[in-house]
Amino acid sequence: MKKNVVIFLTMAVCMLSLSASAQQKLKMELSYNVMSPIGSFKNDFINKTSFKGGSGELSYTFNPKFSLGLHSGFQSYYQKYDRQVYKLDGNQTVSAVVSNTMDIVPVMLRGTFLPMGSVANAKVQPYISAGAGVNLVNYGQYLGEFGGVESSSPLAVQAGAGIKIPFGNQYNQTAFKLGATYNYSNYKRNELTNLNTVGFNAGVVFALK
Amino acid sequence: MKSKNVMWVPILALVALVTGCTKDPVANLTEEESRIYITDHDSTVNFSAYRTFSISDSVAVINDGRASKEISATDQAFINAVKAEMQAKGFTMVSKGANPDLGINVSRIYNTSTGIVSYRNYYDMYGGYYDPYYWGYGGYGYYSPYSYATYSIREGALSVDLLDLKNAATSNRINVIWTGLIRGSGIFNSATAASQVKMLFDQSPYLKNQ
Repeated sequence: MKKNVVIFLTMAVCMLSLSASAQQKLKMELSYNVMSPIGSFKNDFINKTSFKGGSGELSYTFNPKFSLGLHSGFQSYYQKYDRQVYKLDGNQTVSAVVSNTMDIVPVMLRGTFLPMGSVANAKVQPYISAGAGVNLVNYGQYLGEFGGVESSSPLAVQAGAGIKIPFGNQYNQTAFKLGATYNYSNYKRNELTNLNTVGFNAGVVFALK
Repeated sequence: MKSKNVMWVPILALVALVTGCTKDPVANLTEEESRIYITDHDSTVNFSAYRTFSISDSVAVINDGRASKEISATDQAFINAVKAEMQAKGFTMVSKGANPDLGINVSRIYNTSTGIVSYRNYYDMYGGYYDPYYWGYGGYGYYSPYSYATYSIREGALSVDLLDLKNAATSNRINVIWTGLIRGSGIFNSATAASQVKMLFDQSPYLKNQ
């Protein structure tokens, strides 16, 4: 895990150095994400916050106020419940340590709107974003050591807001980005009726071309 | 050209992160936590109507469809643990010849196949190795309505079955009225046999004579 973070940061820094020229339209965003399940996801499956996640976005800037990007990432959720007795179908009863896992990889188109415009000279720039696509979901449930993973790809919708803090050069080509997202996904399996989450993200935006 | 290569970097970085962060939930379990204890019973049965029981003096070992009878120190520990639990629940142990109301079979089941497997077929082995004559009902067959078809197999399982000998003559078969199955890692251990059997009885509060 630690090694991966080092690789990740090294690569991010390498790429920052490539983003020198002005008028760059193509941008990359990389961020670290912390997500919390809410609703049925929290109440019926995993109520622990996930600190294992990240995302990236490749975006095209159409005008100073609007960009559209291909957004993806991953978030890994896990919870182990102490031994409990569960009633199954009929008269069957099972005592087990239940482990629930959920890995979510969103793939979506995301638009970002900067009301102040990306060329504004402000130190802090607010933004709002909205995205839609699919989540590639791996649902895992284990009774003791018995169980497995099932995959599916439900609809994913995201709304976000936050701030960009430009640094380094002018024209807002590179910036720190801090934000929060609300994520909706209409997932249904067993007792689960959605995969909704709220999350915080911190990352960098830099130009590619 | 340069930017094309650059685009792969974050993708590779993400892949590295995903593989590094996904947890293997099974690797995060102790042996005790890996085990599951499943019980099932005939809900029409009033267990208080049964007073006495007898338990087989050996364990049926059903190994990939071949069965034998064995009695290792671990087997004996499981048999003793079942005896103790039954007595604690108010049942009286008698010898097999003393017309017990309940017979108890303990089996070790090994299955090396993986995937979803039904355990229903292990009763076919009873005919050969727990000949119903053993319980005083020669010529009768066993009948068990339970199946454990929903879990995949990693290693051996231990089953404890309560047989209705009291009503075998009227129902023309030996009904299994309670069954307990232990699955997971490190089951066959005499040090933990008693605590494992206790789990099965503890989650079956209806199983008592009081």
